[in-house]
Amino acid sequence: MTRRILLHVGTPKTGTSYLQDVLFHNRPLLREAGIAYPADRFDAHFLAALDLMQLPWGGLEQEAVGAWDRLAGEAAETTDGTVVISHEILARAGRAHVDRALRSLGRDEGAEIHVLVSARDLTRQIPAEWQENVKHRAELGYRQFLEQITDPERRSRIASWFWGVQELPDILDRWAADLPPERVHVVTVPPPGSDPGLLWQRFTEAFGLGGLALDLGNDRSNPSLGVPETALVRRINRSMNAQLPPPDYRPLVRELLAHQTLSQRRGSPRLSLPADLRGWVHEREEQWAAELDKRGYDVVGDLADLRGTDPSDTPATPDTASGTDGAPAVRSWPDPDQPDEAAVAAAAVDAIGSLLTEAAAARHEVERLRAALAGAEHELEQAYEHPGHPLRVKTVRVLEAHRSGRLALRVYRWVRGR
Amino acid sequence: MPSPTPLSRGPLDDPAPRAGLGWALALRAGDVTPWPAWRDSAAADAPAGAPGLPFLPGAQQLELLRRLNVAADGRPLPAGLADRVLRAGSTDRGRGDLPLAGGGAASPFGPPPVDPTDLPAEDLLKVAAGMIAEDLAARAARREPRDRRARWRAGPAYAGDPWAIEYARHDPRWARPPRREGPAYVLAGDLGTLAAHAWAGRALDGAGLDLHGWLRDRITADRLPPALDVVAHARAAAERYGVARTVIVTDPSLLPARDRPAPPPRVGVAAVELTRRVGRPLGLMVAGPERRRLLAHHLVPLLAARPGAAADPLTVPERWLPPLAAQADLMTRALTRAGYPVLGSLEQLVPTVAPTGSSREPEPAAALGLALDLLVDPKDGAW
Repeated sequence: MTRRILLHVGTPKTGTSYLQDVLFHNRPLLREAGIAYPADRFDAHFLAALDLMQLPWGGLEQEAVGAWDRLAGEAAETTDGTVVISHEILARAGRAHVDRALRSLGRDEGAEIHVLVSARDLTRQIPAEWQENVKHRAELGYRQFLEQITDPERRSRIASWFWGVQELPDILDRWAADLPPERVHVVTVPPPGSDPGLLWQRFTEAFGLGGLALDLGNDRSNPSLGVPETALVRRINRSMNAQLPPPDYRPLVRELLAHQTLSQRRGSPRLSLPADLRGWVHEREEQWAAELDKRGYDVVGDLADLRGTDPSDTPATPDTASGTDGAPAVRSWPDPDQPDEAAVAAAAVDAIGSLLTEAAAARHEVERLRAALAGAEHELEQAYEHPGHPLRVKTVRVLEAHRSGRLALRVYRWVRGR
Repeated sequence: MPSPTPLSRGPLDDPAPRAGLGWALALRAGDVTPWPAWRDSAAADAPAGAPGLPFLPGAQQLELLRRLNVAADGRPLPAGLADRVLRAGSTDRGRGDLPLAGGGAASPFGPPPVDPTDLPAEDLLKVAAGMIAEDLAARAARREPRDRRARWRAGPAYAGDPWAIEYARHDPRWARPPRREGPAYVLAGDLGTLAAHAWAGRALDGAGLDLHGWLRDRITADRLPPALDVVAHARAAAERYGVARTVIVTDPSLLPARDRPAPPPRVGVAAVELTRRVGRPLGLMVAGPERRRLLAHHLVPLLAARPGAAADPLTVPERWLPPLAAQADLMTRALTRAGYPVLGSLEQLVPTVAPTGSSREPEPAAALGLALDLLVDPKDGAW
């Protein structure tokens, strides 16, 4: 039996975090079923991807030194059965990175390598990527983002990253040029309104997880923000980026504000494409779906899922629709660059509330630690004032001057549990 | 999943990239012909196979190799360098591997093809930086040589200028923690130079912004980054050592000889920019303190020894001087009021236009020139 490697290389915003979390938390069960998910922490494959691509990531890369070789080494220890490696930023890898990755995973020693890509329509991916940028400190507006990604030259960092991790035919050209189409698997994300469990069923099929009693309860998916919430985070970025270093930004803005607070708000309009861009986007969706179909890859789901649908609350062409009195009524597209200020203010109040709660908890913790420190200092003073203290100090000094004394001290401290 | 079938035809068997493949092989052999001339020549009818080339490299790698061949000026490149370039991945953010324009049937997918001769230095630097980082991690000595007696000696306490302090604290004359009794020397200078030094200090930690971006991000009319706040540095030192033993130093030559640290290596903005770029991928090869050590005490001295490394002074472009001058006035008043002893003159905090008049924007091309020089002629022995 040969080693089979399932290499899931993208794309972002397709339920990958949830998949990785389920795989991570079910490692023992998977191992029993002959499936290895080699990871000692939930983001192990993310760090390995950073290492493979020599990609700095706001200081996190310091935790990634040697991570790819460790991952490949653990994969190599699996002499038979299946190894799963999954991270969406691998989509950005160049041919040199891919060559290194596949060699280190045993391509030339006969490992059976499969490349998997989970894919969602561009109609949803474009606003989702802008939002993800905003949650990573970006200050640029939605329209600026759209202008950059529609520039055919793709010179900017934003555009090169976006297409690098989203353009499905190109990603598979880089990762799977040497693979037969049967070993390339495209998992499509179902359209909006589908059964919430359908994507997981497709992942189950693609990764061969069927029949396993996996614990699916740990949801690390990236919840999305509405229009006013995203606008608020962008304003926070513009105001605070220079003063808030990445190690503070991640827990406070990205996690506490964006994920734990603002994404919980209901009723806000969702981000979507402006009407003038929909035709351009649909053209590319058609082109990609046709190309993937032509290549004959194994499709889990339906390539038709890659053709996005416009949001029902906004018309596809002019921003007008019939009003109740028969006159055209303006239905405004929720523009995150010009958001409803009252909605942004309401989101900001929630954000302040969350920060106050956090600050209060931090104050209580400081007070608790101060009290603990004061207690320790008091005990220390009492120990110094003990009549036997000078003798003890002298004894320790004498003992520490000799090897046998130091040994005796170590034994004494070990016995006393110090 | 369906059962696998035999491997499909690899991309290098296709006729389309053959011209590029031929160019890659020629470059590996030392050719310096630019891509457009190669493509249009008869030599473009290249072989069908390419020993040792598992894939067609991107335009960045190919053009970098051509530039290295040009820089070598007929001399052979160091052993293995050409193959390393052709197999190197691009590092950091920005554009991935780019296809060659006119190299065959253009794919409708992926980034648009480019003429590599038009590539900005930035794209080539990202490949070169990764290679220099690999060399540093592999070749640098494990620790700096020190005077054997240094382990018993404590140097003075330094604060202020992050760039000067990095070298002052690692002066080979002392290895113990700073003397407790002081004095504390707050190393300062004109705020233009100090700002560039603050950026250079960040570069040793693989910072993400070049000098221009850092200045734009961190300096406003009413705000300076903490590293530039001489008053705050002095106050913090005075809390520990007292005002009388906190000395503001604007002229290091006035320091007592026993306390005068070796000056930092003389490098300009381009050399620090290359250092910063190398630090980015290096951060994925070694731990943070080791990265700082390798950059500050191996790469920077190596660069300082190269001709032209200090051609552009390590200071900020002229347009940043007015806000810095205004801040320097405020600082001068605060420091005078506090009554710290001064070696030099507080007026030296006010930035002036560099005498050479060359305090220009950083040039990635100059940084690339240094990178090419370093790769072509790495010198023997440990880095």
